[in-house]
Amino acid sequence: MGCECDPPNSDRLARRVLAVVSDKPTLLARDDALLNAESQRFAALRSGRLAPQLLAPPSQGPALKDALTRARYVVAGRTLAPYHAVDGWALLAGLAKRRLRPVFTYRISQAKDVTVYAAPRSDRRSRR
Amino acid sequence: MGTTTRSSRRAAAIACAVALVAFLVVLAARWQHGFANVDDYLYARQAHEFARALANGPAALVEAWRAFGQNAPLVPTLAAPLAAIDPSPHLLTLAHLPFVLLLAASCTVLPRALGLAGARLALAAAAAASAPPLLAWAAMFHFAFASAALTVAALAAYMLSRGLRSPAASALFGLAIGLLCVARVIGPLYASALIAAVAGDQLTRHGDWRERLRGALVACSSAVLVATPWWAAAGGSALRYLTTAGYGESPFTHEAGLLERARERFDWTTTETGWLVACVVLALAALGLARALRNDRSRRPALLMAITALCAMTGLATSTNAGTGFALPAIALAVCLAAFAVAAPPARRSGRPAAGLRGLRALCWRVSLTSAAGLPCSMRYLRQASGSDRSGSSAHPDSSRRAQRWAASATHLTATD
Repeated sequence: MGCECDPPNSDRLARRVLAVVSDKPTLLARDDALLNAESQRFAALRSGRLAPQLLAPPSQGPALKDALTRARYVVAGRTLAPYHAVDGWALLAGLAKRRLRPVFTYRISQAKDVTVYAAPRSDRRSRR
Repeated sequence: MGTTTRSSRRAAAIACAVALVAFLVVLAARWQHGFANVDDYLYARQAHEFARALANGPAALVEAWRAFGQNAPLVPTLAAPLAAIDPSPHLLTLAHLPFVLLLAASCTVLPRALGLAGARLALAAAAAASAPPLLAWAAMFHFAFASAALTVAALAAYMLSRGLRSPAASALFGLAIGLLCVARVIGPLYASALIAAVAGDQLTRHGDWRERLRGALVACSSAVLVATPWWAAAGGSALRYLTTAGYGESPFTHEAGLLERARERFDWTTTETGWLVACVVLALAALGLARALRNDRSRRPALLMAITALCAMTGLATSTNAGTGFALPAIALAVCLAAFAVAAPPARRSGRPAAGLRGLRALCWRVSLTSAAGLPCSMRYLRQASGSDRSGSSAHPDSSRRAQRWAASATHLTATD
């Protein structure tokens, strides 16, 4: 975490991310012990919402491009202990190419944060 | 005999009380942090589904078993009544309570079989049952603690059965083995280690073979009766998971030779336990084993404990999947031997204990007390699980190794840098 601080409240973080992505197709490009697919599913169960449509994070290449095209939201950010290694540069390039904008940022520590990117509104309308 | 039983019961009561208090301290620390990791959430959802299935009858429960076929059902099923009230993993950790008491009771039987009695037995049992390397795992809604408690309980039941001569204790031994097989998907590995040690013990015994054969049949029947329903319903996916996650190509495995695997297993276990505590436990366990081997009465139980732990570690070393608390049953047995070393009366050789031995014991005592005083700090696992520990240790299988690799190339993904 880059500090000797206590771990943050994982329930609250999962709820806040779920409030943004809701049940829309979401690429979980950053997952670790703090924020992961299970915490999202559990947050949905706890709040009585529909389970989020989580896309498995492909590491790189065409699969990553395909996932970025299908996703309406992308959960990214820095972590020291990721569960899935994603090519960060390819992801950044994909986010820029698809003009995804950050809509939620949660700073955990100097070396750890969570950012949720959303597809542009026109893009979202066209896939409805 | 009556006095011995009374003193054993008193020791068990003291051990249970101490373990209960320590467990409550660990729980309070966990609830204060409000942190749950990936396993907590997964098993909490499983417990919630089991609670819903239980309300709809046995057929629905079998369906739920199949749906969560990669995860053993014992702990989530025990937690299901709690999950019906609130599926929060923070609350569901209360389901560990029976296992805390079972471990405390079993930790009384093992040192007693090694020859301890009275206050020394109570001290050893209380120390083993509340040892931070074990109890810290009870803070997590996970299967490792239950597996460790059941492994120790199985061995305790075997010792009570006097080499499978007592049918009632043999049935308990079988019951513990059966529960162990449904407590964790790799439970059969621990059960195999126990069976290997018990088989060796049986082969070196003489006489009463009819009683012992009857006891073995009783134990097998109760184990099969308990474990069969779940393995029949979900065994296919459990075995598939075991082979792919343990030996196949997965993010959790990698190519390594046999010696390299053994070294990695030892390294990972000591990292999970904490190097200082692991070294103390290992030194004391070796001391306890050496002392127990000198005595005719304690030789057999000590060998049983050591061989079970060794077989379990050897089995685990066949896979490169580091896992989460995989070695905890072996650690539990090592802790029991260590507690025996601490509590046993000084060995008398030519009237005086060896000065070096006394010195080592005094040093280990000091380090043990220091680590025991930091029991709430054993919530260290929470920091590790959240990745805050720079050593990269994590509660997720093998995430440490990947974390180390990944941290080296520290990819920054956000636009907020």
